[in-house]
Amino acid sequence: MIRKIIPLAIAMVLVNLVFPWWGFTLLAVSSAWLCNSLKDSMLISVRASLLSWVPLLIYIYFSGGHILFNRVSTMMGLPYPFLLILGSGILVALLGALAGFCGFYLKEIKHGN
Amino acid sequence: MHPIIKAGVGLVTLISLILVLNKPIGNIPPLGKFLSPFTGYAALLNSDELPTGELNFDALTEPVEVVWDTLRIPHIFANNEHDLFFVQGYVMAFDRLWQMEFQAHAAGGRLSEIVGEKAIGYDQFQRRIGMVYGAKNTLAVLEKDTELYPNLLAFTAGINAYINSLSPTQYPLEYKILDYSPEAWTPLKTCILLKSMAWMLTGRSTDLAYTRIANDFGMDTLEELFPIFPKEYDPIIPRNTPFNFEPIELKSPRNLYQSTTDASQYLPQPPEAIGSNNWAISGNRSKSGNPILSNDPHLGLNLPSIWYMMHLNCPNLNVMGVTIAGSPGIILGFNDNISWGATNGYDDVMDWYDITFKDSTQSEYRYKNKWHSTRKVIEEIKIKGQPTIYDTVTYTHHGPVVWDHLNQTPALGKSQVRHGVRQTAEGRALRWLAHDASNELRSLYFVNKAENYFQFVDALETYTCPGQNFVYADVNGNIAIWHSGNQPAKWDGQGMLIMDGNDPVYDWQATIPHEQKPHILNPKRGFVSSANQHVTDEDYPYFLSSFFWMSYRGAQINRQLDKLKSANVDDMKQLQFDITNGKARNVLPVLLNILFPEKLSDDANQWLSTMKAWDYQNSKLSKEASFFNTWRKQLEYETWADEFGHGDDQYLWPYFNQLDEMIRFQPASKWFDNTTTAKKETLVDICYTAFNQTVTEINKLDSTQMEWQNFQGTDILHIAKIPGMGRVDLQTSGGVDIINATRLREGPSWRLVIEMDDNLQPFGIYPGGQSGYPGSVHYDDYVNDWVNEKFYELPFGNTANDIEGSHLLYK
Repeated sequence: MIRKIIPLAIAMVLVNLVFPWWGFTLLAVSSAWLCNSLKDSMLISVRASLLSWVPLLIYIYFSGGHILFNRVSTMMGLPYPFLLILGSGILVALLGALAGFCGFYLKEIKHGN
Repeated sequence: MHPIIKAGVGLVTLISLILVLNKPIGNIPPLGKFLSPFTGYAALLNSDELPTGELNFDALTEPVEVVWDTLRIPHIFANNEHDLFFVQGYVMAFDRLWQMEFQAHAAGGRLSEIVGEKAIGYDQFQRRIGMVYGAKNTLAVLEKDTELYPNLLAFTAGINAYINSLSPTQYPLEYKILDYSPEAWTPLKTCILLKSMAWMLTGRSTDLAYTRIANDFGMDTLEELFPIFPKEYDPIIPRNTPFNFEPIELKSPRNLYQSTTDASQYLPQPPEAIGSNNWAISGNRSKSGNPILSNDPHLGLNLPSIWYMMHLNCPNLNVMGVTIAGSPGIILGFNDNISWGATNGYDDVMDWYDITFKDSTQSEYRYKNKWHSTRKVIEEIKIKGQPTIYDTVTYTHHGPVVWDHLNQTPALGKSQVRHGVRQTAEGRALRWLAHDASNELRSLYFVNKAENYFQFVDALETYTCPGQNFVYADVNGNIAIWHSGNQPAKWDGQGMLIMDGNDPVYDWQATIPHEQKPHILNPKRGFVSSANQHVTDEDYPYFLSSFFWMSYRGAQINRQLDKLKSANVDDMKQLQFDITNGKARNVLPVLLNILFPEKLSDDANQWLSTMKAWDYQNSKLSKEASFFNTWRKQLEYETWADEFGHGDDQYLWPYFNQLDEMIRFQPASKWFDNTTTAKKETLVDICYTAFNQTVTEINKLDSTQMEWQNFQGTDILHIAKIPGMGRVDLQTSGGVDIINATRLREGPSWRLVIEMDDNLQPFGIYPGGQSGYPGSVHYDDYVNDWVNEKFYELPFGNTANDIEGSHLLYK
């Protein structure tokens, strides 16, 4: 599965550099074609989506972004910046899961199941 | 369930979620866009990083070098003014784009476009006071100014070059939080910002409050409690200075018009601590023999800071200091030859006129007992996410009719009420000097270039509004103060109350000629100073205002300067941090003498001993300052609340200097009597009551909370009040009517001390940082040093090589 997740996450990053913020969901939908089950489809797209956002957020935080993260987390009523990253992870995972779900059943329709 | 249905349900949910996350909800930013590391806040990492190497612009005619010093002050070296102002605009936008745009939107009554319907009332008010009307009048003058307008256009082009260089992911943080985009800058926006500054500094209109008191208590009471000249004041132009000129003859009314007041509208007032200090000492009072100038304007404290430090250099111009984001040139600062600073003048340049319309269409109004046509302006107020609304504002020759029916601006709400000032439902027009076609930028431009006193004075001639006390010092040893502004020449008391819009005798009849404005050059006493107090004594032939700040700060400055015989820059810095509480020094000896220990509880006796030992210093750790502040407010309440009300329906209470004089000289004043009791109270009764209440209040606090730094403290909030973007709970000293006038939300917004040696020695600081990006260390890196009462030595020179820092070439 890891062989599928990493390329997918990289593709999501590239798409996000060009498309609007939700561009990664298009790839998450299409990830279903890499899987045979609903569970796999959702897991792959959730993990790839998480991988496309969270490590980057952590990197930015430790590369001088801590002041900004602190201010933004205070603005959003969060006591710690890591909760901001956690919240972002939950959001991207939720979207990834939904996209994986849609992708799987779109594939089912296409295959006439 | 069939896969088509499952896929359909999934897709609808996914798309709906994306749509929801793509838009802000209430105060929550569009979460999807905002949290994404590719498009949101995190994409701004290092966006404050200074560019290196070279940047290319078609608009530049010659290369421009910018040096960013260690304080992140840009020093711009150009070969001509066009290039200089282009790069000034570009650099300013680089650091402060969102701030300047937001402030221009807010001042121009366009906040609803950004934050939605909650700002409609605010926008409507900004439109109705004629903020943009005044800005357009000024722009019309600027467009004809062949020397200045090209510079303003270059400055505008520089800002737009920066805006155009940004992709949406690079938009400053606040755009992402509030979900909107920058639009092109225009010269009009610069004019609007300057008018907004004028509102902040001249908007403390007391006409409505005084009229209400005159109507309900009589003119005698008004004159007794709000005297134009109190018993004790220390004017800017020293007493008995002769005014050797023939004043303009003015017609005044035989019987003063009496307006009605009190219905249901409110006049928002700028904060009470808008004031400032400035002074200059001559060479015979300084150790080195050079004049030294000092200035600290007190304004609302925000992040990003109102001021931005810059150094501008091109042939015939080498100037450094601060300007407001969005305005070209330097507003307060110094050049090779002169330095200048300002305090607010507090001239009454905002008057209100009752208007009688012929009928409800407001097409005609009565003036000189004849009907005259009005002008109607339809204001289009766009609202984020909602249909646009329109508001018709009627203009007379006096100015716009701010309110013409009940609940005109309901969104202003009660939080904006000050002193129960209310408007009537009848038409009432606003005459405001800032509406006039004026050219303050021209004044500042020539002040920036001035080489001597005469050029400085000439430059001030076109300065109109807001009126300022400009302090001046130069390398030739001169010091001066000019009370500048295009003030109307008024008969005694004109505009103190609401006036008759029909009778031309109430119109502004003339302007005070420039040479007749109060000023002083090289006075014998060896110093000049101002702190928003009365400008002159009663001998000055024109009425300037019915409101000036009490002389506590001014008198203390003069007292301290008078002691200095061989001062240096450090002495001047130290004086800016003087925390002597003048109010306490005046009244405490009397009040503490009234209190007999045997009549007080043990707790109260402890405080009595503490207060008797106090040195009147509002230091950070002082508990006495907290006690006195509470006691003072309680005394005011006990004295005035019975007659003048309190809370939402409160009349304007007399200023503290009135109570101060009553305590010291009129202990039997009728105002000490509490009219709600049968007993006749005196100062003694009020003193005991207020003291005991203060003891109860203060003793509820723990020892740390009692300390002045925590009791008052200072919060520097974000301009748009976005949580987390400000600095709060700063432990400061000082207070209102104290030289170091640091308060909860206001304080010294810029500090400058400069010795006018041939080799200039400038020192400055402001409570903020150069960058407007909240993720930058330079967003608030001056704040701690400002709190800790430090100054920075400001690098200055004639060439780029004189400045140490990061060099960047614009071509």
